[in-house]
Amino acid sequence: MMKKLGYWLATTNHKDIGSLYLWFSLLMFLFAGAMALMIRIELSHPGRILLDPNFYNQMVTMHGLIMIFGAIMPALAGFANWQIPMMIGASDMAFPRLNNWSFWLLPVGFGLMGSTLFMEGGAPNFGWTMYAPLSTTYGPPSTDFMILAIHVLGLSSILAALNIIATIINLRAPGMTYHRMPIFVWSWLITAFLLLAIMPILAGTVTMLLTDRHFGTSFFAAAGGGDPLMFQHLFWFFGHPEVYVLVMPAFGIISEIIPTFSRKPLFGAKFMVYAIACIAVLSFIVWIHHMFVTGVSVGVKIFFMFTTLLVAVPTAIKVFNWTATMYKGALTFETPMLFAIGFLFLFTLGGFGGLMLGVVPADYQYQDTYFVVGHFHYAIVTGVYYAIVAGVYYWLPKWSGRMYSETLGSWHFWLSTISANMTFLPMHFLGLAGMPRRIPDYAIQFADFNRIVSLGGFIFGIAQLIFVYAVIETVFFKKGKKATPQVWECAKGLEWTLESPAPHHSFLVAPVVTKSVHEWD
Amino acid sequence: MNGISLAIHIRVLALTLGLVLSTIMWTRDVALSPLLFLVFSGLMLWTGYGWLMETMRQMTRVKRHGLILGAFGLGMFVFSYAMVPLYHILCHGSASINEGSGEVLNVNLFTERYRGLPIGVSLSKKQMALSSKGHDIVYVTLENQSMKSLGVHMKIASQPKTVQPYFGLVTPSNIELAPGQRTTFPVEVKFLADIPDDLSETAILFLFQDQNGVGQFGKGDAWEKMHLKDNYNGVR
Repeated sequence: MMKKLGYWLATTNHKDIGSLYLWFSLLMFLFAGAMALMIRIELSHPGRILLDPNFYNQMVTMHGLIMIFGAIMPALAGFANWQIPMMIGASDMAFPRLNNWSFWLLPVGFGLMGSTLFMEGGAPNFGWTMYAPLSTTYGPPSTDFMILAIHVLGLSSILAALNIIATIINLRAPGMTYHRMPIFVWSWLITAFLLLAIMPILAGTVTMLLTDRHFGTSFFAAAGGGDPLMFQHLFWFFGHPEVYVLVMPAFGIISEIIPTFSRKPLFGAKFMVYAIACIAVLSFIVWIHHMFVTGVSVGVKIFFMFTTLLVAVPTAIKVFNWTATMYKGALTFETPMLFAIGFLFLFTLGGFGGLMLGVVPADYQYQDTYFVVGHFHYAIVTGVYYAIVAGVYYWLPKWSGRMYSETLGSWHFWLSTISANMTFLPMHFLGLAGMPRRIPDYAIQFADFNRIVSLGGFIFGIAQLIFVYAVIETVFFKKGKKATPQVWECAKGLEWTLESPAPHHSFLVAPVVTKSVHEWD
Repeated sequence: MNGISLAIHIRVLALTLGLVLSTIMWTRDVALSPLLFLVFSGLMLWTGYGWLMETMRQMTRVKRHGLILGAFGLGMFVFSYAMVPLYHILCHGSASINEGSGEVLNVNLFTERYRGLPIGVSLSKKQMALSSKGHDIVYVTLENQSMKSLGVHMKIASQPKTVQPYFGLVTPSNIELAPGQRTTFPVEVKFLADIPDDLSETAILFLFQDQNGVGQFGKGDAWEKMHLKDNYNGVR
């Protein structure tokens, strides 16, 4: 047992570390998901039901922080660790020891973050956005631990990003030019640059919070010459690109799945890359759309409204290309494809909500209501989470050597899709009717929709247990039939040339690449 | 050749000594010492650049990229701090955060009623300037705008909160107001210590709340108390 623990603590193999990231993120999904269900119990009926209002705020804060930093980002990092070396024909990541350290910083960070729940005054209760002065003057003592946790998690992300870039730049197989790289690798290359640019900004911002709290500085205190509004600027300068950090690898996963099950090469592959790069650049000049009601001048609002709406152009290119890939394809609907199609429809729906929020006068009405919550969850749950699930089903046979149960996969998809829409669509109507976000209680006229939302949330939670069962059954009990090296009939790329499960050490002799994965015979 | 060349080692050693000496001379107000410090700093940067280049030449391509990317990350951390003056320039038209002399502390005074307490509040002044260990008086006028007697409790908060222990305030703790009654009382504000160089402006908030403690400021169970008062049992 100790030997095994020692092995996992010291492993530098990219597949092992990828698995560690994925299991850790699954655990965090369950942890933060349980918090979401507690929130939904409280909101299932008007009045106080289960949670003390202060604890409710702690749940809202921790749910957001853990889902973003503990569940989604590590899941995507897990995909990067497993897939990037195999997709570019490398034997491992560029810095294997650094890779190990990047992962093991995560449990440390979450130990710190989770410990705040047991501290005097409770966990941070000001929302994942940590706005000053809520987090400075009025923040509970545990805020310092949260700041330290963010530093640790930020360092982990920075090191992982650095490793991914160095791997992609230096360890590609002979013949694997940039234009021949799979879209998933491209999406991660751009994402890693984005991460490297924004995580230090978050680190700097929370350091300012810390010094404002304890060392007499006044970065965000008006009385000392600072400005609380500056916190929002700094936070969203990080925060908006962060959303794309989550979304862009998801784009990469979907771009791998749709061609395989459409039996057609990806339509406009180069434009997909340009579109991702374009979104990454635009992500740096849209942050004020989170702050339209903070009193910025009209000229600034108009500029940021246009840049926000501009994001729709490259995003639409991507949606068009995925649709064009499926057009006249020999489609089959295995579970990864079901989730990819679900992503396509529902992420686009979430995107439309984003367009509505990006329009200044409309934002005055929608901001700080459940409309924002609905929009965000469509983008992240039925968008990014769907892509993660699709990716797991797609590559699980390669990772484990066994096929998962299609029956369970289909149940998982349909239950998730019906319940996700039950959960997040009514949130838009609640928001339009004026229900504010981040409240533990609400007026009686919102009761019916909230009951539907809570019911949907619980069904969605149960549906995810099917996923957990399907994965455990495949990985540990080896229930499914044995997977072939190619797994899927039209899967293209270097990873599909390896045995299933992929050998512990792959590509010890670098393969020679002669054409792009997007050029089919 | 492996390792850093001996010439660079000697140069760095000499420059470090020069930097330390010029710093000491600067603190003793020796003539031309700031210039000397700048010269040594410049030479140190140039040598550091040479050292970095030599190190990178000896590194593998992968490690070189790791170092460059790490430096980029560090640069972005520094950039987050550079955004502070940038923000003040772009959004307020001034890069200066603290404009005070360092000897006088400007205290901005604010009032706040908690949970719609039905009183009118006014201050005789909105700002006062305090010197080290200096004091000043502000007159607070309260008016009960309701039809019932009120017991008002006054709390004080400062921004930044770290300066609060340095204020000595002479204030009434509880104020009883009959319906429609108007009262004025003085509050003495004294800064008990020497004013630090980096503190030029601060604020004091006079917060008025109902004496019976309903909705006490900052209490986590405020909601509950509020609901209990209205005989709220969780079901409507």
